[in-house]
Amino acid sequence: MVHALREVCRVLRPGGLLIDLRPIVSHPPVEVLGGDRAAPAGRLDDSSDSADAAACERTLRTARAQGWLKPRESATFSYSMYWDTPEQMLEYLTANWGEVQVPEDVVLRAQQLADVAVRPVRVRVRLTMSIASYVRIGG
Amino acid sequence: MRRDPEGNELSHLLRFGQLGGKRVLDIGCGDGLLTSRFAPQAAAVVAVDPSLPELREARSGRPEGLAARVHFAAARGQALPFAAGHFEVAFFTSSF
Repeated sequence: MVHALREVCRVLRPGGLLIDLRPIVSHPPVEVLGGDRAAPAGRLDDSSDSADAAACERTLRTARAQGWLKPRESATFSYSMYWDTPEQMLEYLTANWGEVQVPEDVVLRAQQLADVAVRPVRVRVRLTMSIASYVRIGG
Repeated sequence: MRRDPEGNELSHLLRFGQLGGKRVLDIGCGDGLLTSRFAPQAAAVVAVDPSLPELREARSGRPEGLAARVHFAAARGQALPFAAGHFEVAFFTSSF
């Protein structure tokens, strides 16, 4: 990771901006939406991403210590994804989020909630995202 | 599936990146959906990803009007095929 960050700093002009955008490990909630109601079905297990998140933090600390980057500003925000059914959610997450666990009871609960919800039904997963900007230092 | 129809991600990227007139590098662009959303604000965008299937999807989904401004390329963050100091903004999007 340090090598990759150093390479990005190489192609970034001095004074340029590096923007780091990634999800925070937060056990994202799964909700079933119908009418004006959002019913909680449980949470995903994204704890396997903790090691990667820690490695990212270490890498950025190294970059600051080496004088490659200077922190500028940071924030968190909500990022939602929507599907029409719990099956579509499961299919997508299994195919695209290999490390994130989708507990069976959450899928079952989402299905039960979807069966009785006011149409049209949507299934939502809500992530918390982190965004931070850094200024490239030096020549 | 719909991702971030509220536009929270795009609004934060635009606020933090201040893209007007700048050359932007997007590292880990995936299917290019976000790239195509912020690209109209930038002077030029190069978006890279190591996954060829993702890049195919990104190219096929690129709006016609962005063809001259947005280029997708296969590359890893550890070995970027660009000259030193070429970009004014670089995005790491979930992809250290």
